[in-house]
Amino acid sequence: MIITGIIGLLLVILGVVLMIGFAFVARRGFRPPMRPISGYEALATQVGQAVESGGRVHISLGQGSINSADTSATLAGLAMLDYVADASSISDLSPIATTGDATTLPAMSDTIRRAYARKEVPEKFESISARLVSLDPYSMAGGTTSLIVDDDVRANVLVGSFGAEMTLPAEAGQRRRIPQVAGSSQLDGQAVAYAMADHSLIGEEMFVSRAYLGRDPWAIAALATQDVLRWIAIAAILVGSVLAAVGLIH
Amino acid sequence: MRYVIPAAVALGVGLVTLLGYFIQAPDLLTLRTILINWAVILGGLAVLVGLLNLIIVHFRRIQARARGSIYSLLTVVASVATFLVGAGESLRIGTPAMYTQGTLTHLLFSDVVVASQAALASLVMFFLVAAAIQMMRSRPNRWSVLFLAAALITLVGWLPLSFLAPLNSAREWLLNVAVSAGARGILIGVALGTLMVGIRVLVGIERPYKD
Repeated sequence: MIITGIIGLLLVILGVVLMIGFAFVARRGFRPPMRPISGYEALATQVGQAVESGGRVHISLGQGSINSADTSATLAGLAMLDYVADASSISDLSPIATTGDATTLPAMSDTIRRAYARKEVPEKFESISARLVSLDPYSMAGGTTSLIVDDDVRANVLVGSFGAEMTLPAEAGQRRRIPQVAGSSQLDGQAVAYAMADHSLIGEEMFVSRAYLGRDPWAIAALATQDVLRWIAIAAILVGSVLAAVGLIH
Repeated sequence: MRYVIPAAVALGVGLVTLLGYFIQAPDLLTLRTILINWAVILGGLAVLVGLLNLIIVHFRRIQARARGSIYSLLTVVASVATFLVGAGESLRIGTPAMYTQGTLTHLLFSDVVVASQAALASLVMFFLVAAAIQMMRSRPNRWSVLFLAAALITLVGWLPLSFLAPLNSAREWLLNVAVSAGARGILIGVALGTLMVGIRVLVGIERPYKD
């Protein structure tokens, strides 16, 4: 327990040090090679088209809260919401953001409000843009389904903590033939996203939205740090496998 | 100061909670427990705010006579009634009525909410298989074929028919080896992403509480 704790703490410290280092060089123009992620490439087009056609963009953060283990998925979803609200601010219709967790609701509302204030159109902000649909995953998914149909949604973004219930809103999007981007921090949600969305965000792809959708040096630094930590994890797995194969560890 | 104070509070609370996981100091653990309890209380208050949001959203839909506003009316009536019944019964018996057998609140949850959840959950499999077939039409590539094949082997492999024994073994292998390996890879990726988001919050770059 103590060794595991120390390793965990060291990993966090290493992450902080690496990120500060990468942020320093990112401010001087450093950009790590970034492979294209279709979900982020398509998002700008999808939101733009939805806004131009006079429709709304719907973004759902699923069941993720801001005070539990899935907080990171919620924060990743909030980063996407920030982008969507920013892009939608030229329209008279604000995006609809839905959640299945009450603690996420104020954070979502505030994210939209800030995006509108940043674009100097605070009067366009609607207080009911952020909505709590239900506290239960399946009821929330069912409620979102009717919202997609009734509120003239033209682009659907499902990013956050979703399980298999993601099937319901994704199916509603398919039925209306609207473009969809989906990603989840849960495995079953990822399988649904892959099968049903036009563009899916798999694994850690969901957590790098700020680096792909913006030019913030800190986001670039976080992406580079994540890559370094991934190589460390790969090396640890390989070394562990070899040591286990020769019988040095069990 | 407007940005510094919230950032300092978030950083301090985050560090205390994080260190409480790694270092087994009794004082730190006590402080961490207090902070987590505060978060739970705030979460409870957030539910009330959420209920208010739900009622306002649907009330405006009813006012605007939006499409499907009859369902909004049902939602408002059901939420207010459930809240009043739950609060009233809990106050009367002194414990949460939802977990007490024989109360109307318990009945509402076990016979209405759970039944509705089960009905919606049962639709998932049909939608997923339809989606896998639809994917073959919209994205006909080797990954789609692999996805559909895996889905079919897993579903058919569950059938208790003796002549399907080879498929049963294939399903076992698929779940224990291929799916397990892929899932671990994805989960490591998710864990790394989670770690980085956590670090960004800790150093004050990710600030959902910005102003």
